[in-house]
Amino acid sequence: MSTLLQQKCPNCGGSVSFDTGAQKLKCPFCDSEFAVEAAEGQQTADGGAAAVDTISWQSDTSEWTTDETTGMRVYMCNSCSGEVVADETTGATSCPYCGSTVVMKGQFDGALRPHIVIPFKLDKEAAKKAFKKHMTGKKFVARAFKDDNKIDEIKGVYVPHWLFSCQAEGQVSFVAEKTTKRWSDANNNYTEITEYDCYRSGNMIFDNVPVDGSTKMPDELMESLEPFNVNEAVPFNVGYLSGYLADKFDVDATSSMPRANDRIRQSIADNLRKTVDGYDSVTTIQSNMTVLGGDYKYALYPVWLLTIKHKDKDYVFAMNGQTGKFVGNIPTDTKKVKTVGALIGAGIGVALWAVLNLIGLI
Amino acid sequence: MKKIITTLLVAVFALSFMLIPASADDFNTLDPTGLLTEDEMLALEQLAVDIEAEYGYFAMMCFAENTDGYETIRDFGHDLYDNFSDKEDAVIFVDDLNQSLCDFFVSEDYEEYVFTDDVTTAIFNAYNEAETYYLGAVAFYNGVASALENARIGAFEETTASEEITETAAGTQHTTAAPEETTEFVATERLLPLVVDNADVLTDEEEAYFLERCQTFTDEYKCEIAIVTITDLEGKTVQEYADDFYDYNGYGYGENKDGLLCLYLDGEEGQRNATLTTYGTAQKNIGDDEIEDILLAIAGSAKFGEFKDAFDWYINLSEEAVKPVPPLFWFLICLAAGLVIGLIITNTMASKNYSVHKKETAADYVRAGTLMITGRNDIFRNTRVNVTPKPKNNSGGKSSDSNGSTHTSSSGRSHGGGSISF
Repeated sequence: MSTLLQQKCPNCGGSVSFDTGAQKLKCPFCDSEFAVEAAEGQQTADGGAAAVDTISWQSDTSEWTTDETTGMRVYMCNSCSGEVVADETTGATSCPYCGSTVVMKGQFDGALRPHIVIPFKLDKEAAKKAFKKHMTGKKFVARAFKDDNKIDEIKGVYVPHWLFSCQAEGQVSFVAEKTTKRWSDANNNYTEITEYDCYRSGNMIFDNVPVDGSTKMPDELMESLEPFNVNEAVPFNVGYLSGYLADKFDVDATSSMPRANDRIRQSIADNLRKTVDGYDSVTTIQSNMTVLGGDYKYALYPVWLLTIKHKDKDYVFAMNGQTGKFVGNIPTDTKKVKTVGALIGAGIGVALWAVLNLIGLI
Repeated sequence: MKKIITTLLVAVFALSFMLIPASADDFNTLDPTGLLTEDEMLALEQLAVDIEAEYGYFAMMCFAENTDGYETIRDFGHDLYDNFSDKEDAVIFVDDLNQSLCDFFVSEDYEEYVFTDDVTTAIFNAYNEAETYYLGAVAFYNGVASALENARIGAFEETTASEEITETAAGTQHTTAAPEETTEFVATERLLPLVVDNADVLTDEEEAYFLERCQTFTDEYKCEIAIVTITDLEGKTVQEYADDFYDYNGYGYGENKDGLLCLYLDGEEGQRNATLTTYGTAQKNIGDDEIEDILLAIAGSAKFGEFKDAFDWYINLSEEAVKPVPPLFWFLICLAAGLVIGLIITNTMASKNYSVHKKETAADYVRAGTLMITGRNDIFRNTRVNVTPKPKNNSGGKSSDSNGSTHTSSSGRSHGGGSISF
């Protein structure tokens, strides 16, 4: 059993959630609004934690095996005492019985506490509109997928990210070629090509290169949502999680570093490559990188997520909760692509044949 | 007066024996010294007959060797005009070979409206610039036809007629003038048979055989095919000779003059050469590679004296090249091209359904202005030379209507072709 935090309205005791428009906590029952920091003060005044119950479930017939409980956590809702079962990385969710927003405070305690959070700036309605816009004008969308559309299930999630900042120094070797002379004789054309070994080194500063810290989220999906504006991030406060789902990281910083390194290395190589000019072709032979003064932060990024199952496959759509950028692969009816392509092609082919006949080329 | 009439009668009598060969009595072209071959005489006669049939106008060309009985060539010409032209409307052109003088004799009405000074000057120039007497005579007859044609369409204005003739005359020069400005001077109808065996390398039976094959080919593919053998290039290159023979003798099918000609040279000094010239659809369909194949096949047989085999190869391989592709083939090609385009279109449209992509770099997170280059070194490594063969037969420019290299003939036409010596 873990510690459960529930934001309550200081006026009526109702469960409150974060309002993206006002950027404050808002009570849906009495419409009271109050700052996120005020809620934190209330938690401290209340003893820093909501009531904690210790319940031991037992069964005469069977018990959870170790394998079954691995990766699972059980929480108790403070509003209705309902039991909330979540996986070990869940940091905030809603009670399935009373709908109250609950935050698993223990998931963000101590070393697990995020340094910063980018609050949601766009609400669920904006996400739904963005999804509809995303689908507009798309061709060959699988018909069954349209029927399975469950747009109301779109949910806001704070996704854990590691942000790496450093000064990186790169050394890259290239082989470059350029044509230095051309001439001909009666039978042949000749081209003299000169090769050069080119070496470049240089350094650059990178700020807050993000790496998805959650195995639940496809890395490509999260990278497609970039960039997030970290300048708008605020110090972490659990109050921002109210009304949203949140995960704690399950990929630690050390494991995330190689992905950050790859992106930084490629950026340095690209920038150094641009300085090898005056050649007809340039090929990268080798690149090395040294990271100086690197540090990292733990951050929560706001993402609206919609998962739609189609033909036993999950299609995940996501919107950047800060900028509104919407991404997601739409299941495509490949048979329709081929059929329509063949029909259009047949039309073009017949028209081409007719035109060529008309102008007498065939 | 009696004395004058008597003198003229004597002169005419003398002319009929001195200048005109008996066999040429019926020809409009008078060639008492035998400058022209019999085939050329026939070709020129056809031009004159055509002019008379088309315009009702008598045209005569005379190569005069002996005008001693006259004070001037003009006197000679007047007599000729009076005695050989039994028609009111006539034009006679006389070249005094001894004195290198030429003159023009035209009926009065036509002198004023058709054969103006500019027009006759243009014809003179075209005649003088022609490389042979035969081509000069062709230039004369075609110039006359052109002037009469202008008159027929109402272009009696002096300027129009003279401009037309001047443009036409310019085409006789060996320049790269545009074909449409110059092809007026080439013969409009074929003047010689499809097989001309001047080198006498074919038996009569073989000649008849190839005449039939060439005619069958021409009828079937609407593309004229001809065989010409010669022993003398008359100072031209083989390609020039083949091109000129094709153009000035009116070879080619239909208005577009589609066709090809194989010139075999059996030189007196052992020089043997086969040359192809192509024009129109033949030029379009027979590319450089096909021409090379045909020439190699001809040479392979001709060098052993197997001329029947050589020209059979020529006709067979040409048939392969000009044979029209079945319509279904082109339909399927168009359909396949359309399908590729259609699938590219729909796949491009479908690609917009995919918006999830891995980020390869951290370009969005570079702090602005922090790139600092700390090392830069470019060291010479080596030099290599790439050799690429030149395209074959690239002495001429590529034409959009041609499947291979082209060249311009003296008539201004753009021909394809090639040559092989063996």
